[in-house]
Amino acid sequence: MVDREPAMTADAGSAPAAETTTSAAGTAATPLFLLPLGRGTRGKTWWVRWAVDRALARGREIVIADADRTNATLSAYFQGVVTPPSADDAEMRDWFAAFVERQIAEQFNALIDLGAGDLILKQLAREIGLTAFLDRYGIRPVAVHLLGPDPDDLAYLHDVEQGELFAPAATILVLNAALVPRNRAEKAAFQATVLEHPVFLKALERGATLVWMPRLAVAHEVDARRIAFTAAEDGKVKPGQPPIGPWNRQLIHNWLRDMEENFAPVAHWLP
Amino acid sequence: MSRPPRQDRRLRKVLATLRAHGGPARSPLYRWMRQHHDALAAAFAETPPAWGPLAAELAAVGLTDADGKPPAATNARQTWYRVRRDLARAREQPATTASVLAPDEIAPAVHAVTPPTTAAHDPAALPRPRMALDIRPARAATGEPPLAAPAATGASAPGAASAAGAAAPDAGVPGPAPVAPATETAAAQIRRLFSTIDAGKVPLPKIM
Repeated sequence: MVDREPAMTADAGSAPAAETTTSAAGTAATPLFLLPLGRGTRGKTWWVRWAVDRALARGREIVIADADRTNATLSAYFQGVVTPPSADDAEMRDWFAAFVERQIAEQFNALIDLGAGDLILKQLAREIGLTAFLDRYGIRPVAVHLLGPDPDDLAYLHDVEQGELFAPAATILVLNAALVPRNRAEKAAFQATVLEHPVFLKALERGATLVWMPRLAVAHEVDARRIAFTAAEDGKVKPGQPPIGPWNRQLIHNWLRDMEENFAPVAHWLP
Repeated sequence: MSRPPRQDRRLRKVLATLRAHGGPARSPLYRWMRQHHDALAAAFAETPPAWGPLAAELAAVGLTDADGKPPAATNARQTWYRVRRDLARAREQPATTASVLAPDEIAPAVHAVTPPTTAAHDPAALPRPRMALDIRPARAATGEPPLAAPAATGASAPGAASAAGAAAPDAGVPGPAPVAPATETAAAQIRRLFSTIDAGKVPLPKIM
């Protein structure tokens, strides 16, 4: 076979790569399978937008799969987003399996946005033992839990950590400051509800890494225009849109800087 | 000590023909990556490869793909994947050689029984192949060419980080060295979180 290959073309018959890669603990070059988790409106899609924007700004390739059956918005921000053919359970399962097999065969970085509380992940994770399965084929699973200051936000963490349903070594617990009501102190909001909760502490003690996601006060400037954060920072807007003023661009710049600093401890788990 | 079995005469002829009229050879890029696999793997372990700039550098040092063209980022990444796959297979060869089955074997020396019907040859009776997906790397959905950005000056001005990131991958990665998760206790992580939150607050004036 010639080692020439076009861009990622459909090839359902690609050979699995079980014997091809290094250990599951993985090296930094190991392809990543990033899975943001959490209940609705906790900032999963927001975080995905930042992570993908960050990767693209560094010239890195990443495949986005948007399987959010209730709110698939990533296609508004990125081209080439892979989506399931329908919201039907059986088709979702086939699609998920086909996607993972393609990742195994082609060894690309992938970011999968599932809908909030979608049961499909829990079902598939239990059925196949997702973490061990990906490890075996040289893909590093990364769980990214988006949490607000509400004890109910820990429910999904509890579910997937219990029995190690999806509890990879690379687990990031992201506390989203944007979910703290304006009239509450951020530290106090999280302390009693989340930071002292046994579910949360147990995840930290088994090796999860804690990261603070700051609030972007001018998030609406980016959201309303449906542009990337780095484009907004640079003042690049779509034709017909009003420009973003230097004040708000500076706030976006500062937020990107803070995000980079805060996620530095887990930068090796990002695409 | 027993002598190795003599090679089959027909096999010798087939191998000679293959050597004389074999298919296209591996690309220079593939051969180079394979030759330097261990060094590259160690380097990639330390620094995740940014395939765009890396492909440009590979082209700059004269490495080409199977068509003799400078390798693109995707091509370079996939060539690296094939090198890793092929080397892993080669290293496991002794274990896998023993398990190679003949076309009609279902286990070593166990031959399949011909099915009573032709179901095995009926495509409709076979499991469906996996769904074919159109998978490609994501790109920013910029739509029409964006408006020109206002000129920015200074390293901390908006645009400086992203521009640096585009020109030199990872150049904009700031500050603190990565913290190894295993080395930080839960309490230490929460302390780090609090200092991050506090860093964003305006302190009260201190009485002098």
